[in-house]
Amino acid sequence: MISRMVRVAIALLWLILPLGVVLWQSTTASFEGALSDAFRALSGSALLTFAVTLITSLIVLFGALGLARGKRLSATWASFIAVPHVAFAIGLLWLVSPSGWLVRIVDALLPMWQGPLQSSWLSSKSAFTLMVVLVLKELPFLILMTQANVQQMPVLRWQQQAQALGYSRRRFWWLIVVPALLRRIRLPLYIIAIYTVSVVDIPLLVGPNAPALLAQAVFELNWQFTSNTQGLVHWGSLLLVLVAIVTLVVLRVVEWVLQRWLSSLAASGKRTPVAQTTGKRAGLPWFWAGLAVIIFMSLLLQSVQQSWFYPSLWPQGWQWSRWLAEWPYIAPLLYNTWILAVLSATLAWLSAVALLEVQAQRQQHQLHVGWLAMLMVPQLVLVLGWQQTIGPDSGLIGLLWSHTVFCFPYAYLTLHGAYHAYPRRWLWQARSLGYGPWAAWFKVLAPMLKRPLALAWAMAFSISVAQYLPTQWLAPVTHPTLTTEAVSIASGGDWRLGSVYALAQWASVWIVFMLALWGTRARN
Amino acid sequence: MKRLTLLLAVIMYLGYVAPSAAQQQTTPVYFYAWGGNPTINDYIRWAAKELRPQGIQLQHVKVADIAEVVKQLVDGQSNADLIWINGENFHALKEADRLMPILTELNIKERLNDQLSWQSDFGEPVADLEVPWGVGQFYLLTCNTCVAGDHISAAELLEYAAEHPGRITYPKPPEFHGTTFLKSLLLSLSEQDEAFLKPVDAVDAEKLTAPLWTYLDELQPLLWQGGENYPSSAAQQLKWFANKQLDVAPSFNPNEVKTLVNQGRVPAGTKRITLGDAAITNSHYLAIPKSSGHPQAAKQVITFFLSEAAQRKKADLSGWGDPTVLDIALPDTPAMLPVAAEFHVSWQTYLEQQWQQRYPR
Repeated sequence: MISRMVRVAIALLWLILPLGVVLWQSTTASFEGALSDAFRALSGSALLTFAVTLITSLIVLFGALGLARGKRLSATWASFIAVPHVAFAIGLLWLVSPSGWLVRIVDALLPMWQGPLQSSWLSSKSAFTLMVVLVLKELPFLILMTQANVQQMPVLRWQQQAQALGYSRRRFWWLIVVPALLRRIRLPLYIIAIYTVSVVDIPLLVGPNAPALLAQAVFELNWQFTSNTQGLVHWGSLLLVLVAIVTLVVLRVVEWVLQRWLSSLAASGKRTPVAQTTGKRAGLPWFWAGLAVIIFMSLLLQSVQQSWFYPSLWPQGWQWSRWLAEWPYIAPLLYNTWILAVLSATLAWLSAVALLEVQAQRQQHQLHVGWLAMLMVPQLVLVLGWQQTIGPDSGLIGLLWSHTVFCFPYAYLTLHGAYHAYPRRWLWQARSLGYGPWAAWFKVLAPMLKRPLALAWAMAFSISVAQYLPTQWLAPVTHPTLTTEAVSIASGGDWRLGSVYALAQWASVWIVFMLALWGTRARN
Repeated sequence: MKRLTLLLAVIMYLGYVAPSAAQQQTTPVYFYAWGGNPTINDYIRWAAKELRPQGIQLQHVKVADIAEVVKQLVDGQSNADLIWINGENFHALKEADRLMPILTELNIKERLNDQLSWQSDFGEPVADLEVPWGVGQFYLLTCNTCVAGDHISAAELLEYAAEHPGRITYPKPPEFHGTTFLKSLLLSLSEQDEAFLKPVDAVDAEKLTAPLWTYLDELQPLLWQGGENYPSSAAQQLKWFANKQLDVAPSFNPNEVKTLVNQGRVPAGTKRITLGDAAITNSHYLAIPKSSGHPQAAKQVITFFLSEAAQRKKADLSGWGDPTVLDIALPDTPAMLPVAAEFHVSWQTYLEQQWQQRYPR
């Protein structure tokens, strides 16, 4: 009875209500203007969005499948995926843009060569740059998810059998493990795809604009005030949903084709008996750690430089006082960001734990798509519906609720594996020793799962910190955060100041992850 | 658990330190203004500090485009007390009757510099509804070694682009620097036709703009990235100009050629040239929406912004450096550029739409 109430309450709060508002709103929406007009205006954007999403998702998928076989990534390393997107993009551009640091090194080494680079590939604004940022940022997430799934499969036993039959490790991985994995990592992959379809803040900074990605185009249309744009916004968000659905269908087809192909390969029975070592993959975690350090350094240098023009390798002037001068204005934003993130992470975390506990008691170990529904709908469509219902500046409660809606599925997803892998016989034993159900949970389960529990909270926290669209559309006046400020400043072109805010944003997330890891480290 | 409590304590402490300064009895004024320029933001922070003794808490609501607020005001759901606008945004608000008459009441008319022709905002009479705050002149920043002279005609620009492909571009319209770039080309190509001061409907717009599209068809492939991408803002283009990826960057502030060098945002050896013979000149304004919750305090803020001290500070070349609208002498500021009148407001949308239909495919 109670367990049913818990599930209903959680579903109502974080799924049914938010979706219902959007659906209700969309029935009253005015679809003025002809569909053909909207299509002409937005079809370029829609196609581009589809292409970018599909390419990004496929690179991330194959990247994760290829790389997950290597060394297992530690939890410390996992905190890399918590680098906020905006900070990551700002830092990466400094490294790879046509007048960026890498080009400057080449320029310094080759005096004959006249820089900067005149290439549209890694230009500061292009679909390619956007994809590089998204792939580098999403790949670790999927690798982590993949490895978490591998752990739950009896891979070692399979491997012994396969080796006994003379399969190389590589063939074993691709022919036996990958087919079993594909279905399991479907959800995280879809989450990445949907995120890419509807992300706004990254394209604003590094995406192309002629045409822009669909979500960005709709975002910008939404503040035009000429009469026909509102109809266009509604058509645009409908188109966004359509692109999302088509992408998911295509990804599903790709999965199906891959399954067939791999099983036909497996059925051929071919094998290469040479046992290959996988030693070279040990370098992988270092790649991301190195990237994170370089990006961090870049932000740090940017935030204290006064002038630093091409082709200088090192800032030509410093302005150390920027941090001090800016601090009085960062502090309130830091406060806003933290209050919001702590509250929404806690709400999301409590809901996720309650739900997982109820599911575990009923022995429902499957990860249920329904609970991740909010990650399966383009965020822009959701937030637009909420904004039209509760107004453009609705105060803390609405904002908190909107953040929690997105934090909850991530907390649930992060915690799901560990929670269901937990041997519940420990709980029964505690109960048989006379502990009540609460005491058993707190004294037995919680200490054993403290690290996954803490990481799930930290994950929810970092999701809230990185939210741009909900904050920007639901409470920009009463509750600006580090993220909205960082995007606002960076899109104004002064990345020195933008870096200050990006660092403050990054530090917030990093501190929480470090606390979660340090607070739950195993004691000898 | 103990650690969590500690963490919460730290957060609570931070919370007390930060907003406690604002806890005194003050009237908030929500000032919606573009937030993309740190020197302007700094200036508004300075103003907020100066206004605090008057019991006013000036809160800068940074918007990426003020059109955001115009839409909210027209829809009747905005808490803006004070807005920074001109051109089509003013036009839309005036038409929707959303602005409070303030200019006569504030009694500052005689102190304003009448030579700036601030009485008309993009061909639209200000009609008591807004107060001029500063002056904009459109020109290009370029490096000393790039373009010779102090102006470049449309034809010369095309020649330059042909010799240096990929070194010229402009922000993507409807970004206003981009649209003004098109207007300047149009003026240069038509040799200062007066027809652009009239509404689009009153003239043969298609015929008047035909030379521009022929010209752009030639220029487009010579632009940065072959015209397949554009900077989204003047600030972004400025950044690329500063790092030698481009040879020009647009500006609407005649003093910026000095202030940007002072701030280390562009290298020394940057100069200004007008696109065409003269710089399209307009004013930017402050206005109070009828729906404002704190109109009295907002008026106090305008009075402060129009004070001599505030206007001098605004024109200071170590900060924003925006020219004053008052009739006062400011030594050390660069001279104003030759003036070309701003187009009638209706051209803005017309040019934007025509451009969008033609260029980004």
